[in-house]
Amino acid sequence: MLPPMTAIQSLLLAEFGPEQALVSEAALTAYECDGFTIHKQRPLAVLLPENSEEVQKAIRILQREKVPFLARGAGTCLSGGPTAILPSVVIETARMKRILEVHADDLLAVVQPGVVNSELSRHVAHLGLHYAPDPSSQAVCTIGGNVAENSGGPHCFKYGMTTDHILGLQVVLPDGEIAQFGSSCGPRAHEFDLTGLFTGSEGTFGITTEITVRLSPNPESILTLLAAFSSMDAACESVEEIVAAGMIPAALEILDQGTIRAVEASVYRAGYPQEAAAVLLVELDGPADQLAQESNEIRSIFAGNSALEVEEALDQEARARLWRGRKGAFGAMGRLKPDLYVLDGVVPRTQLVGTLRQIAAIAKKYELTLTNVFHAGDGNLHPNISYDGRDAEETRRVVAAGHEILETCINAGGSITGEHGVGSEKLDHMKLMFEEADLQVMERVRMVFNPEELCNPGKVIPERSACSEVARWPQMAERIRKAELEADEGRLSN
Amino acid sequence: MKVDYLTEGQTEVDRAEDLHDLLSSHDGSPLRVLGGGSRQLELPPASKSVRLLRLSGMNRIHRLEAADLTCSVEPGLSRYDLDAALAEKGLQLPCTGGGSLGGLFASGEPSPMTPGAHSPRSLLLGMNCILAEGLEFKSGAKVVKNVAGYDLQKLFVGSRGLLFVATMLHLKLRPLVKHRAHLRRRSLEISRAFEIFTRLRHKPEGVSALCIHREDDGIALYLTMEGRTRSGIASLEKEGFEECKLPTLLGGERQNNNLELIRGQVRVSKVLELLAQLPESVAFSCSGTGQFECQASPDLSDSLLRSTFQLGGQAEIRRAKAERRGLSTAMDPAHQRLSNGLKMALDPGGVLH
Ligand SMILES: Cc1cc2nc3c(=O)[nH]c(=O)nc-3n(C[C@H](O)[C@H](O)[C@H](O)COP(=O)(O)OP(=O)(O)OC[C@H]3O[C@@H](n4cnc5c(N)ncnc54)[C@H](O)[C@@H]3O)c2cc1C
Repeated sequence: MLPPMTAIQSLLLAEFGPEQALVSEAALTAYECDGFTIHKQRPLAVLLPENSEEVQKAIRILQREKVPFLARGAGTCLSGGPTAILPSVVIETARMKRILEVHADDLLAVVQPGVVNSELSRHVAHLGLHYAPDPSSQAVCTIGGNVAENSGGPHCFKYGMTTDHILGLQVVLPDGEIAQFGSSCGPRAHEFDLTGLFTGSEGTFGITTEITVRLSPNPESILTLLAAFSSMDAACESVEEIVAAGMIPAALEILDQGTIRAVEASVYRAGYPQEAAAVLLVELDGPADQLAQESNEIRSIFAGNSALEVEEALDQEARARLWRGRKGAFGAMGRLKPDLYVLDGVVPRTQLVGTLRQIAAIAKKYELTLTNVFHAGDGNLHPNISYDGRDAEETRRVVAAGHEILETCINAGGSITGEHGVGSEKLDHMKLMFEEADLQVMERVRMVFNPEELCNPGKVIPERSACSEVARWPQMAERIRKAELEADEGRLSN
Repeated sequence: MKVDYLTEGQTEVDRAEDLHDLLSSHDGSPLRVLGGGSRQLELPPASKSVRLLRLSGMNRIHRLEAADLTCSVEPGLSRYDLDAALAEKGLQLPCTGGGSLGGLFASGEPSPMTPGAHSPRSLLLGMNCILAEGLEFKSGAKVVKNVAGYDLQKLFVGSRGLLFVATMLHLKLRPLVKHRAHLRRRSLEISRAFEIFTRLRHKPEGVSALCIHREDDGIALYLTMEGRTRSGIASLEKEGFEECKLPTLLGGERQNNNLELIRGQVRVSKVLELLAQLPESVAFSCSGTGQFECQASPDLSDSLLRSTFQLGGQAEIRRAKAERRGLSTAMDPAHQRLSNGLKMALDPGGVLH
């Protein structure tokens, strides 16, 4: 017998119909987690709006009924971002995938949040343009999800993160009001930069329904090199020397031996030398004569670090092959064990070698299978722990090792997350990096956008025992209302 | 340093600890935070009589990690001193803007850059701060990549000291460019100038700054080439560009006290339309990102604000009599509400002006 429908399910079905409101157990199971499979929570219902007005309608109903809600793009997040902590309704952007405007002269496009990252680049390729942020999941992840996470990717070393490519946002705020941040020219100089603040807020400040992105002209030429090394140290040393020589390649990516072998045994096979302890992918872009010079310099750095072999991709096909292995690395890990826990710590680039040694020691201590694939230029590590989630004892060791690894990154002067976000996964780790006062200020900012905490509750900021701020919020809300009345058109009243 | 609003003296602070002590025991009277104070005649005046809080003594470099391309500096450090220290290590802060570092970031300087190039916004990795009520906090990190917690740095950039005071800035650096050339092409007819301008925007390799400038004898294009390529420069020289000194934007020179300086931004495809609405005698310059500067009489600046808004852009009167500085194109109402909310949340006593 089917379980009885809850009141909120009935209400949403009545308002949106069965095409746009999913409530069956079978349908909801698909939404119980993202790529961080340790945290699971089945939603109360899933809504599939097609435009801003439908998102607004959904939020207004959920706000009125005091039911928590959260946005979901493709669900590729690796930190539990689109997985509810409290029983919630998921608002999925899968049907908001229209590219609304492209202005080649202005190097910009306006898209709905459900547009898949690589789809946008494909769409503007004939104009000689592309969308620069390139998470390895770009074939499936959405631009809305990228904005929420401030996603990075291999080419972010030179071109910056998602935040550097977002000019403006339309956002349905948690109270249902539609706001416009930034503009087609970017964040406005005489206003607070709410576009920048929203980007990376992990879906806790509202749901973005239209995104104005910067498009980038394709580089004149691209050169991709793959070097194989007999030690991880030599690969990391090469990265340091390349940067010390004053070069900023478009990408600097390292894969360790475990990853190389997993890739080579998978459909992502790229022809990486399997006897190598590490391979380094370097991509250069720019004017052809400059690339030729840089490539020579880099080859001599490789030689100085006793590279086992160096391959230069001579055409687009070879280039795609070399990247296929890197972009498919997480997928290839599926061969090792049923589950994968992808960490995302950052260390100063000069601390890579020492940190990787400590990470290997932690994996050994907890008897876990750990491989590394990472954005070496940025010092952004992805230690990947392969495990079997059905084994509770192994899962416990995975979580403990993860905590120790992130602590190691913090001790090296780094961060707990370079691009995957805090979500639910790193709530505890936030306290490794931030103190009570830091979290308190973040909380004050969140309360401005999301005062009832109905929008993706419980994320980003860990629960703290005694929240001295709580008593102040009602007063603050009153002050905000008063200030609104006093606000004159152009200036902040203060 | 000159200001044209009411002040009640000034306090100089040299250390973050002193600032903390001062703010923790502060009586709630209005304050205005300054670095060197060089931008005071370009920012909206304080709306009340304020005590000036000068941070120019907080001018130390705390950390300079050349190999990691990062550093941590106090907000009163001058751009000039930072550049000198960085140059010694073969590094640079890859954005334009002078004065104190705190002022540079807090004022949200425009940058005459090509799309995708660095702006102050993309260079602030993390910071230590203090709220007007005395609460010290930090956000971001010292490493080049980090998404832990909310990006409060973005709230500092362009906040003009209204939300909180930064006591330390963690910055992203780049290797110093070994080869840099400034090029100019003058006396162009307007449509031809825009054709070249658009082409260069779409082929930005090596072009780190781009600016179109209305001069007495027509339109001039200025650009800066960076990198090791001679061929790019050679091909530009072939089409009539000549090497010149640093391109000068309007703000720096040709000041006229009877005129106002308006700074704004429109989509590049709209610049011609905007320009068409201005008399030929009006000095105008526009960067590769569509950021423009213009000197105009008060009447003309009012109409320029309206036209910019109609073209989907934004603008603000930057240099003018105190009562007109800060007049700007309108803000989205929800944006306005949230901005007021942020001010209330972070400076509930309304101390910072
Ligand atoms: C194989 C693989 C490789 C990956 N590689 C990278 C990489 O190289 N770099 C990187 O940064 N990440 C990477 N990721 C992580 C992930 O792909 C990114 O975080 C991505 O941005 C998530 O997009 P999504 O559409 O899947 O969002 P989801 O996972 O559905 O959601 C992510 C967060 O965004 C919020 N959200 C979604 N849409 C909206 C919206 N419209 N408005 C407000 N909030 C919204 C959700 O509530 C959630 O908090 C990888 C993941 C996988 C599985």
